[in-house]
Amino acid sequence: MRALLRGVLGVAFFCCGFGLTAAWIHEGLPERMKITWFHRLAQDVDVVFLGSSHVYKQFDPLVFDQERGIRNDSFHAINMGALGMSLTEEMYLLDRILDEHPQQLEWVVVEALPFSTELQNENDFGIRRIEWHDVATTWLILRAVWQEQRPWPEKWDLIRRHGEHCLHRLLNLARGPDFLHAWGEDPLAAFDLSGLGPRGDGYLPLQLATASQRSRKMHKAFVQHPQQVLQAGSALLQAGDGGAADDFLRETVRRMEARASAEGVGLIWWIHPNLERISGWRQLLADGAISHLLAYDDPARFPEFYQVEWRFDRFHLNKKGSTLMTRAFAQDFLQITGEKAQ
Amino acid sequence: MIFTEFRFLGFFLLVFGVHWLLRGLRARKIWLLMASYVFYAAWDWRFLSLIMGSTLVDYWAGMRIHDASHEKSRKAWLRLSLVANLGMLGFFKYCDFFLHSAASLLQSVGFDPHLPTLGIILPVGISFFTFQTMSYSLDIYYRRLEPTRSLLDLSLFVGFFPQLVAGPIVRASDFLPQLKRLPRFADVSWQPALFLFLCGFIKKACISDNLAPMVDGYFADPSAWSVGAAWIAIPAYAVQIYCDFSGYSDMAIACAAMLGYRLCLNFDGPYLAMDIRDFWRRWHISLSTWLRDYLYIPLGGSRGGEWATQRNLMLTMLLGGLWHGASWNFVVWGGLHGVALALHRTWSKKKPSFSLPAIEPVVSIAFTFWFVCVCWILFRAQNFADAWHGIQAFAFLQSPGTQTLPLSWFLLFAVLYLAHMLAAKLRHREQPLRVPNWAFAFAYGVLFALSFAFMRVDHPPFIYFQF
Repeated sequence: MRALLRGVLGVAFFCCGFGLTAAWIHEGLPERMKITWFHRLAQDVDVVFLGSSHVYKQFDPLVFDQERGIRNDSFHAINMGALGMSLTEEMYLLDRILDEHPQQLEWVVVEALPFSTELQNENDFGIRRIEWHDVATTWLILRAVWQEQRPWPEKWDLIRRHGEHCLHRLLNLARGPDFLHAWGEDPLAAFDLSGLGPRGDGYLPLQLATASQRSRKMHKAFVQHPQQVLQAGSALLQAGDGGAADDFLRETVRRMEARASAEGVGLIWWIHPNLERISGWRQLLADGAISHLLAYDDPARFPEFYQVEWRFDRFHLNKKGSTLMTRAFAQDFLQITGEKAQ
Repeated sequence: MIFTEFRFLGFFLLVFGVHWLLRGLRARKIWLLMASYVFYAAWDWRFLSLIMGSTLVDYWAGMRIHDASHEKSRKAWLRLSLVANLGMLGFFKYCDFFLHSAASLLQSVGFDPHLPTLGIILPVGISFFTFQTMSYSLDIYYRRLEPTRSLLDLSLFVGFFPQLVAGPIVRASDFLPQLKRLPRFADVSWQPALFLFLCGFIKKACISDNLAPMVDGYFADPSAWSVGAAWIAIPAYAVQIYCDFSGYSDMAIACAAMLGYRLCLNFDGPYLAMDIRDFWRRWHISLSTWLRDYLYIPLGGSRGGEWATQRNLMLTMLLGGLWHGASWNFVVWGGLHGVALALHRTWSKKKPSFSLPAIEPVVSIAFTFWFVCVCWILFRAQNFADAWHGIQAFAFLQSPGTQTLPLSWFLLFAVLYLAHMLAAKLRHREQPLRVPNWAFAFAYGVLFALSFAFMRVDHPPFIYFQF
């Protein structure tokens, strides 16, 4: 019995030593560029845009601020979008933003995305992906994978990969050199700040001259075969509301709403002019699970977004389309915030 | 499955837990044997048959050698065991090498033999477990060991997973008696075992694996690098291979200790060696003693006069080199060490009486390390041309290359050398260092968290697995 007690105490002390050191290392690790950048601006901004490339490449904070009639000598709105962001990563980033307790922040505009457990192979064990696999987020995903209708080998593969990402994060695997480099260095100096866009407000417009090779390919494919977008526009006119929200979408949204509400920040969910309707979001609005949903996958209201001259490729608007979209959004935003003031 | 992978951690925790929960000796041995075979099958289950076959042959041959009444039949049974083991090793490890070498030789004298290479896959750890089984038969033949009547014991001796794939090369006379008694949980020295595992983990995952990219870069084309770079990359390889191999040995010894078994020491501060003979007393001890006991001494050792001794030394080192791999690089590497041992033997006898006590140890250690590094160039280089470029830069300070490496590496080497000295001192303390359990557990957690942060995550295999 004494030996067992000694063993348990030993394990407890081991866990203490391990946990404290791991937490200390984690605290000293450099974060991704946009979070590091946000630390600088946290107390000055009032609106943050959060989402995938749809946000990163389309929401222009300058246009948005001008539409709101705010001077543009400093940032009021910033774009925290990043390529390939998922809803679960949005949840993690929202937490990171709100951890700063930003005094001026009133609204976070979040792209409404489907809840997905998928992981693209090419980004496995990237620092960004490891970063958002905290225990809470990973647990949510693992539960979702468990309940999904898919073959067991696929399920097991997803469970293993999500689990390994979480383990990498918990153990700070191979992050020691980053930890050492971060000491005494300006955290932003380590990054290529061109990712913050030409004005440094986080917005990087899609323009052919500066687009990546992949984007150019997608643009070329779209220009050669634009019918899909035009047909999608017509189809969406007849499409329903996208159906029911699944349990995990609900849970994610509930968590995000609760966290934002606790910090006195409002969430505005925004649906990109997609070619297909994302399920669940309209029902969440109808149920009162979310307060604000601006759905731009509506060709009746925004026929331009489903026309060739406003699109860069199948998935994104071009600069002209983005400006139009940001303006429209600013008007909707003013209406919402006006309602809030009332 | 390698020791620094998480799946090994899971595997070991399961093996460890069940092992100590089982009450009976036989049940524990069966469990460990099953676990060992699963561990090996994680690489390639097909080669399990080699281990089992080798075990069966030596089990049978061992009893026959012992029971035979005439010397002639004892010899015949021993020959059978050696032919089976060396035949297996020769086929899987050296067949393609000899075919390729024969073809090259015939081509050089004007023939075009078209000898096919068989593309045989080298089973992991074959050099280690065949040497273990051979030592079993040889020890019985020399009447140093009674054969075991338990196939289970012999199977576990050959297949015991901590030492199965990269040693230490365990002697049956050390291990089989341990299988006769039931290990007790309370008898395990937990602190030294856990500490040794951590040391091995740090050596492999944090030091060796992190040096690998720099060393690989240098040896990809040694002619492109400057003399200064050679003086960094070549000692770095010396550190890498030491940390890699001794790291594995440390973890193997620690795992065995946590299961209640003792494996022999395999490294004892080799880079503190004062001369080349001293180096071989400290480097891969289980192999060097094996070669001494089963090759050098049976060849005649030092009993037949000076020339015979030198010949035996040379033959032993050449075959020791060939044991490491089917390549002429390894043979020349062994040959160089053989020449150095022979020269050292002659020098020791004719050494002038003067000495410089203050600096002699430093000079001796530095010169020995320098020579060992020169030999490591042959060990690591992809071909003789690359090796020659490395030797020119490192030994003769000549290189056409211009690429450089930061001098800050020397600072790291200094720190590692101090750690090497400290570890050797700690190992030879009469009383092992004791700290309160709670402090040990806490510090262990801290060090493990740090080592995870500084490890490489792609788990490169251990260098000695290829041997």
